[in-house]
Amino acid sequence: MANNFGLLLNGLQTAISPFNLLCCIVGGILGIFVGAMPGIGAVAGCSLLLPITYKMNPTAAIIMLAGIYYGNMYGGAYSAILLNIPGDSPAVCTALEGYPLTKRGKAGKALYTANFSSFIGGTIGVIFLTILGPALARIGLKFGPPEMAALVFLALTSIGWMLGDSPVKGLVATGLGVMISSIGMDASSANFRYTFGFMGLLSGISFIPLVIGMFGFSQVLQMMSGDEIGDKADQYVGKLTLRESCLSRKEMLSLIPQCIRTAILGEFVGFLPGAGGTTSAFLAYMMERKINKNRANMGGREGTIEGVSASEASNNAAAVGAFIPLLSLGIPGSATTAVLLGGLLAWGLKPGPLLFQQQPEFVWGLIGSMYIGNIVCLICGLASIPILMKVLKIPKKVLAPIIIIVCIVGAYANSNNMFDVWIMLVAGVLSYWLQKHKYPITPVVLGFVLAPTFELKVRQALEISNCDMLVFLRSPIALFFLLFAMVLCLAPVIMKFVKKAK
Amino acid sequence: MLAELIASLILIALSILWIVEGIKLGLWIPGVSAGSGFVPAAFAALTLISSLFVIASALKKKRTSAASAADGEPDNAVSETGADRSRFEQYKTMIPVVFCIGGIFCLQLFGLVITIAAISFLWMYFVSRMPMKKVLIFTAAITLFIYLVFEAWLKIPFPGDIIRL
Repeated sequence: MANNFGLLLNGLQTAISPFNLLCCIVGGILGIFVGAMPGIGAVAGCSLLLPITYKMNPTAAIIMLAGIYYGNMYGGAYSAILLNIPGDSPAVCTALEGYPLTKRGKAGKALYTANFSSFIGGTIGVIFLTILGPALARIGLKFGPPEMAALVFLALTSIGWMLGDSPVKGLVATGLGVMISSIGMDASSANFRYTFGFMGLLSGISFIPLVIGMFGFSQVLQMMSGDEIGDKADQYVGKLTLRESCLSRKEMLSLIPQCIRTAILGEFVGFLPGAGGTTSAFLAYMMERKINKNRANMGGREGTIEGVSASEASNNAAAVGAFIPLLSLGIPGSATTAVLLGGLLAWGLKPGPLLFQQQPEFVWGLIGSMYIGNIVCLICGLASIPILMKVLKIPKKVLAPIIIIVCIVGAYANSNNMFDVWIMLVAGVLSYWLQKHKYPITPVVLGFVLAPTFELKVRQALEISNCDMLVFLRSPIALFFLLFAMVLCLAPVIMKFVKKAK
Repeated sequence: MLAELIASLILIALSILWIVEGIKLGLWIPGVSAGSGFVPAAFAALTLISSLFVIASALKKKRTSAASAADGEPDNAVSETGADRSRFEQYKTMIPVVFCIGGIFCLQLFGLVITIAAISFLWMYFVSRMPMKKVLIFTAAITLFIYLVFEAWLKIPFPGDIIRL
């Protein structure tokens, strides 16, 4: 560990060289901006900027791309909180708690919480990376297909049960999300399924148009039907100055322990290949809904800073955690790190255990830049709060056409395909219809995102074990997750019967 | 109540369709792995069973409320006003859908700039009923911002077959 600390100091020295520092700052700012724009995610942002970095030295290039990546995690919360349109999939839980806060006039507080928690989560993630990076990668190798399938099963079953007023409707919504995700090509067998003869469905339903429609467009429909709280008011009334948006000392102190534990969870989930920020954000949110002091108010119509904090701290830690398998094993932990892997290979670097020995200035320069990048993103995020809050001063009669335009343009920008815009429209109408009948929307989206991973891991596990279903019970890790899922689902039901019996 | 039952029935029909398609795709490949239809059919079955529970719960609530309202007289005047208001809200909800469909066709024919300008102008003038001066200022600002970000900076190739700016 002492050796790592010395290497880190060298890395920090590399990171604060003028050009590298500039790359870090530019990357962070671009990442925040890209993350805040619905339709343009970290993958698109990194992909668009990758060619520019070919002319830079590898250290500077990866520092800039890493800045875009975790800056995106900061930015993804902004559109989620202000407009109820998650900038990327990890921000779905942030929208769940953050947007109701905006409707209560506490947008500034929600944004401040998101920035503060992202900073703590990201910093803890980098500390773990510094101290335990290669060791954590070895633990990650113990997670095979049965373990990953069980982990995602835990997330899938808990989503519907915990979100919304009716657990049963939550399960319906989860199932619907999984069904939608099965449209298109089956990754394992290359069969087309559930396309019903529509050519446009052959490539499946993309995440971005779906989420823009379900969260963004449906919101305009709700505005028109008068379902939104405060519809009569032209704008959200509330404290819109930076000073009044700051968290109080008591609030900050109460959030710190929560940020630490959700960041540790996020780091743990983040370094599991394929798990990603969405799984970690959701699991952290679920954990806080069970143990947080303010859990009674979480998931309600009013929103809580604890809910925002859980999601943001965790997904920022997971973003850093995804670098562990990338650097240590050459295995990308997420789609964005897959793009970064492409960049590393193009620059002649070979990620793996030897990278730490053969290219220490590169690896530790990158890790050092993450400490600085987190500070940069925090400063930029806090500085942008007054500007972002001006969005709320836009009257709803102007905001509605802006949201429609952003939805159409954002859906098209995903893959330059008009069919995606139709998907967005249908998703928006579906979301409005479901919400009218009191079905929660978040489980639909989370089921959609997690189902492909679940299906892939289940089928891999069965292939490895020659179709033996007991493979999920033979692994202690998988068994633990399955039992935990059962306890989470059955406990409320059993408690209800016990109370009735008393 | 009726709307909730219809919603559940639609979801049940969808689930059954998914299960049937899943069976056609194949649930299991013996000795190899699960088939393409296994996971979708399994979750469709979960949706089906959960929707049945929703229907059962809705019917139970209806019986409970019918029993407690047995002595009260129905308020026809309120229900008629409620029905009219609901129909009006439904028509209002169609407005964004119409604008979106119009925007899609406009984008394909005329490209980004004209589409954004048209949506902004028509909505703010006819739906929001704002004064013309404000409408023109907001329309110009929105169009410029979207153009600069998406077309000028990110260079996204928007369509626009007839007239393109």
